[in-house]
Amino acid sequence: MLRRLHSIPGLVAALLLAVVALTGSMLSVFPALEQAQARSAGTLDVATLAARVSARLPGVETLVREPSGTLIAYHLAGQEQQASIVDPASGAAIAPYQPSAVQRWVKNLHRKLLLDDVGRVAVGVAAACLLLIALSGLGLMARRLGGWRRLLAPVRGDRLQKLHDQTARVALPALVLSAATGVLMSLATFGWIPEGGSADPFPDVQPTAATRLALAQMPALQQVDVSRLHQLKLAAAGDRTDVIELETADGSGAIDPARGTWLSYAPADGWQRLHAMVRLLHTGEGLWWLALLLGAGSLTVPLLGATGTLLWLRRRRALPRLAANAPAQEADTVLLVGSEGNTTWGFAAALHEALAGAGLRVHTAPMNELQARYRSARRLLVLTSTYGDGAAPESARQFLGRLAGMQVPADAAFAVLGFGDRQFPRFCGYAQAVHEALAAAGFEPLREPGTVDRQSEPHFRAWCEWLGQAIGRPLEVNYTPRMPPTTSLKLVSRNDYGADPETLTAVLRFEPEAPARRRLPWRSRGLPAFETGDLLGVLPPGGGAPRYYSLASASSEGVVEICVRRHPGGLCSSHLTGLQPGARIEAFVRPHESFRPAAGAAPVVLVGAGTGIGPLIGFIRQNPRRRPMHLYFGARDADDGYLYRDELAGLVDDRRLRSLTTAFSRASKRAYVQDRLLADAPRLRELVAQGAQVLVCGGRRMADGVAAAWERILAGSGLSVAQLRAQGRYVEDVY
Amino acid sequence: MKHAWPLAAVAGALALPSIASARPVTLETQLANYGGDGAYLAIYLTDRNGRHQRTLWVAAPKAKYWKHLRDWSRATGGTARVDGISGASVGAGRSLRVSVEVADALIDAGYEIHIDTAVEKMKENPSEVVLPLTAAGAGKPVAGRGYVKSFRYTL
Repeated sequence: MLRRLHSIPGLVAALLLAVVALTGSMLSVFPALEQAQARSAGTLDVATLAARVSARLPGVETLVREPSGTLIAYHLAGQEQQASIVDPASGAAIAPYQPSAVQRWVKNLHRKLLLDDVGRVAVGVAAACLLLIALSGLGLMARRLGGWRRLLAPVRGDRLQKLHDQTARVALPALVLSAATGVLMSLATFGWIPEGGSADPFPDVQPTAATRLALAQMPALQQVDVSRLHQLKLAAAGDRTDVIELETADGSGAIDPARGTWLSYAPADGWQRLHAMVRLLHTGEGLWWLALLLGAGSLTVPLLGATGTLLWLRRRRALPRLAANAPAQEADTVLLVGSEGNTTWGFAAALHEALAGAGLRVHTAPMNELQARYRSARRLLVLTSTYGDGAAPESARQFLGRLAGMQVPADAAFAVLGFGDRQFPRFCGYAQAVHEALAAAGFEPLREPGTVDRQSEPHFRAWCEWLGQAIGRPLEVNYTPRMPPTTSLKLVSRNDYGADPETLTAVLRFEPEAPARRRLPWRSRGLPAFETGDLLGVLPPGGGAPRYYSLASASSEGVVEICVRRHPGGLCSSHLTGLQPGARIEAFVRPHESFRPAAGAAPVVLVGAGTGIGPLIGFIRQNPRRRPMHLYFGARDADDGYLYRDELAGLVDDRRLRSLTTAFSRASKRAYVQDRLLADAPRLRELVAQGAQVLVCGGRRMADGVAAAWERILAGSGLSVAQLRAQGRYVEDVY
Repeated sequence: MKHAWPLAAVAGALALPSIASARPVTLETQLANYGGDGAYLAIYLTDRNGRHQRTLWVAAPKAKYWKHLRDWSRATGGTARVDGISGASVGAGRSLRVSVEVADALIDAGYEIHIDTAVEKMKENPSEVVLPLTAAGAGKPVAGRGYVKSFRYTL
């Protein structure tokens, strides 16, 4: 619901909002320009000012003070009325007053699209949309980051998502203020809220005498400071019945030209003061720095609109079509899907097809559409992602509430498969919660919840295979992940490590056939720019799912470097380690922003084993500023599988790498990286206390062992691995 | 349906006398390039004592801004009925040409034409044009003190 409140008004009003926001940004410059040109009046009362001006401009009729402080006198020059900017110090006309035609045009575009009431209504609706989008976006962000208190936590996600979220977070206060005040101004224009000031401040009053007091001596004018002045209309020279009219920020009234005292006065009421405040906060007229801040905030609107639209398109494209979806009450198998960005639907569609192919009547639906009862259901399968820190994804938000009111079928079994990213602190946390809730509701668990890390196809296939066995029907799963466009890479060099050709490890360096281009969302051809730690997706010969390899180089280096260990029977690894220079592969890049050293000069602890050294050595190479980096590296032994041995020694010598600690699992004194970490516990605790970030790269078992070691290292320090993960200071690249 | 034609007859009988003793007056107002948004105008007649007699034309579609046409709105209490004698505001440099019926009895009888003008965020000009409604004055342009570059009426 919240997501719909966010995206639908955004898509509908995107273009209109871009126009209104950009014109708003243009207008935001004027208050500062006017402020810079306005001559300060200092403390000056209106009586003195009026006397000065009427001495220098005898035909003056009206004095107006702009919010910027600029004073304008309307005066007769011969038969013609003129408007001049006057100097408050002397009262003399400095220059003719010529309001900017450009500013007026932009303002009319901004507030009514150069139309009349139709335009005003459209702009008012746009402001309401912006307010709705901003507030629903704030709600979405709080949910994504794991609660209101974590609103300032680092944003996770890919580049597009980060660009959208980080920009929105900075601009949010300005956008909310602009939108809310804009809505109020619209409502006032159309009379939905009172304008105030119902009493006529200038009733039909007469001077008490025909003689006139000098302006400088009028008590009512002496009491008002020029900074409060809006407008002063003097009594017409030829009309002895005319009175002086004064409008200020505090109220308006008529003044007796004979005595200089009030004939009538109406103080500004609550509504008038509210509208004045709303106007000030919206336009920043008279508050130039606020205007500039609001203008800068508005500049982000087109960017947010474009990135938001791209994110929406991506979610839509991920939504598949289901063939032969059985009605809920006839299905023997109910497959429920919890998805935020719709990627889980791709897996669900494949499973749906496999189950239907195995002769089952399958009903597949979003988790939010859980029925109060299923007449024929014998098993319930749940595929769900986790949103942010263990929260339900969009299509599962109402699931637990609906489950509480559900009539659980007798003897119904269930299984949950969680989709997530191990970088997040509570990996598949929501899947676990759903599992526990279903078990508590009386469903029979087939097994503990399964997990799929970062849309790993092997994880998914393994779970489906288990499921087929559990229900006694082999499943034929045809899952084809959405494939980004690939580009052709040419192998330029290879370095082999390891004695056994069946398990050798190779460092492969490719060059793109076409030069690397900048990553622009709408340019999908050619290899986009990439950073060390991103993933290279390689299509094995004969097709099938891509395999991912961590990149040891960045696109700025001009080469694509990966480490590949040959697995016996491994289709892609055998192919890659069999390539000779000049051979070509098809590959694409998948960003992995969370896995790279954070900005700053804090120490970095790199932990890796085997081919996990790839991205780590890339980070060390790109450390020209000699930030303290410490590497713990596990290999088979000093002569076999010790990747980059000579280069690492060189990096230690030129201090890009502060310390190198190795662990050899096949040496006479067998050791693993976690042993080395534990041995260095005091030093590592100290580094963490200095703000160090930990990056771990390698196999799952090594990563689990390393995390357990860190848990012990941090024990008693007041910190935990979970806390470091939540701060983005403990990140893994695990395969 | 049965009552339609007697009603029309009554309406016609009421309307006839006023048409018989009135004549069309054309009002032509040319605005200066004052460099602002569209101007609101009220053109109206006052008697020899300056009291509002009747409104001739109001180029001011939004009644909430009528208070800025100061003299006219004060004289009419801000609640004038302007059906058939009102229209859009007039842009800077543009002209307004309208024809209205004026009773013969008001011509050469000491009545004056007034024009109030107002522009958003700019000065208001109550009675910026004041001239007597006479047969001799017809066709002679006069300038206003504010946004009216020239005004004339033809009988």
